Amino acid sequence: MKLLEARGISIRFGEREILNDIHFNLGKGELIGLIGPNGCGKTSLLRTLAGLLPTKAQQLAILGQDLAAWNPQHLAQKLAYLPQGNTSHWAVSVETLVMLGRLPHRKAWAARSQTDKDIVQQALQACDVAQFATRTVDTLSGGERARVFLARALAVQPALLLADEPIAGLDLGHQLDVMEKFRSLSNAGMGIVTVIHDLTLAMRYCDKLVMLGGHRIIAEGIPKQVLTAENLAQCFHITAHMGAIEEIDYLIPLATLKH
Amino acid sequence: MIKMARPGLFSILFISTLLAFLGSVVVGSSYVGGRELLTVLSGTADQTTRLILLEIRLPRALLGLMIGMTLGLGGAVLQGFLRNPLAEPGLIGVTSAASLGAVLTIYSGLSALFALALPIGGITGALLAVLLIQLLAGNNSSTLRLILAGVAVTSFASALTSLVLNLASNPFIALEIMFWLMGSLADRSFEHVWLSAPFMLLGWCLLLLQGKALDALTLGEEAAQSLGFNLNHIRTYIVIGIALSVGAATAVAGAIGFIGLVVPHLLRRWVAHKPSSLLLASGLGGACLTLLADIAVRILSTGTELKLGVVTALIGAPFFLLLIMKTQKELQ
Repeated sequence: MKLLEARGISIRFGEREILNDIHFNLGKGELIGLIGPNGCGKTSLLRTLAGLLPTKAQQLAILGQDLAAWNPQHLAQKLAYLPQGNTSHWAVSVETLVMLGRLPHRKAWAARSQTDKDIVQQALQACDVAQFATRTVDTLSGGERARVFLARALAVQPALLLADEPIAGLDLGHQLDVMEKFRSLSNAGMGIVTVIHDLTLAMRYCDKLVMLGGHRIIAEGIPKQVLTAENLAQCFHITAHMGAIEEIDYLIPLATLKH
Repeated sequence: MIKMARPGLFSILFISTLLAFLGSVVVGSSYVGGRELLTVLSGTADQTTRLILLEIRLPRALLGLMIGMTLGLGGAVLQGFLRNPLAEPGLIGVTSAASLGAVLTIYSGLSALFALALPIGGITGALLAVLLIQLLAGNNSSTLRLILAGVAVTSFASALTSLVLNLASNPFIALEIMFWLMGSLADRSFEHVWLSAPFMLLGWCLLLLQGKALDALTLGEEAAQSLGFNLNHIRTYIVIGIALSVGAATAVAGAIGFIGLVVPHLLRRWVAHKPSSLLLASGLGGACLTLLADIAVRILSTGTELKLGVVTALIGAPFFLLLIMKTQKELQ
């Protein structure tokens, strides 16, 4: 069964066309990287796939069921959305914030159960933030914050995770940690779509890349087929050097093309 | 600090509110002590004591309790919903619309014909404001639009209130309107309690049910939505809940400022900044503060009675400034 199936999604904000006729599939255990230049509609597509932007009937199926047929709370138990920016409007503790991920699983008046607490502990440990569980989020550094918000999304224990630039602002070590984490989660069956700008990490960890540009999908498929010189020129207006060290592919941007 | 025992905080707030309530029954121009209270409870009190306690003090204390609860709770809900510590219950235009409704009954002379016309006018004004706000910022619109609609309704209702004052040919009516606008709990009867209580209770229920949604909104609107909350429904519940409770409060007591702004601020750190924990705490805190302010009004008044709304603003505004300066220091 496909975790996500989008058929011909178009997104417009008023007169402005963002994306046109996008088809997208995510299978069980797949890790897909969404790449493209700033403003090409990556976030809009991710929000649409999360059911946060309006779509026409039969355009988006999540876990085989049409979006309109989903009860919002049941959907929230299966799908976690990690937005950009890691915003917390109040200075709550890290533990309280991660516990928010359990909200879809709790009944209206139910208090947090022992299961909820255990799952939150697991999520804190998985993201290497258990040591500051009692600190308030306003005292964290940008990188610590990013990991706490990822823990919040993992506390949902979703079948699919849609993450918008989860490694932006992380140091190199924690970037690797998060991508390793994604890899092991997807190996365990979770479907993950992540917006990512680091093409070397994208190439190394993602099963598939979807390259957006000019309101449409420029290319999709296994990373090496997508990151061709021609596609990079068309999408990012760059030339790049690609190579491999110890079977790990890397990509270094060389120059921007005048256009 | 973060691990502050919540039951402890609630016990303190509950006991303080209870004491303030008892104080509100006891304190006033004529002394009523514990013995008199007991005689009333046992049914052996004389006519005057009964009258003072049951007809004057008790409704006043009850209204203080309910209105304070409404303002504290309303402030906490709106601050949580708008994720803005500057929000207060009057922000969405309900207070000024309720004031306008009440002022119109004074101007037209209806309130002189029967006393309940005033609160009924106020509640009607509040409900009309909600309809207008839902029209202006109805379904599928942003939080910003709700605030702008609230500002528009407030400006319009205030302008109309000024127009009424402007057109008032009789200076006594103008003075009565001015005094009413200042907000007071004096000379209220049980009829005011019965008239406003259902609206406030219904409003409280709607507001208290939004705790988990407010917690989710800590992460922003999109993340809250992705956690399964329908923001349009939540906004509608909150607007109606505020209109019913704050509208009814304004209708019986006039505009009482600063309680709804200051109390959530004061208590937020004691509930570890969690919006859902703040709701009941802020309601109790609002009740306690309103009752205390109303007691202060009675003690300080010599001759001309001070108005409750004036006193809350006089104490509230400098206090609020201090609070801002203190948080500024903490941030640096």
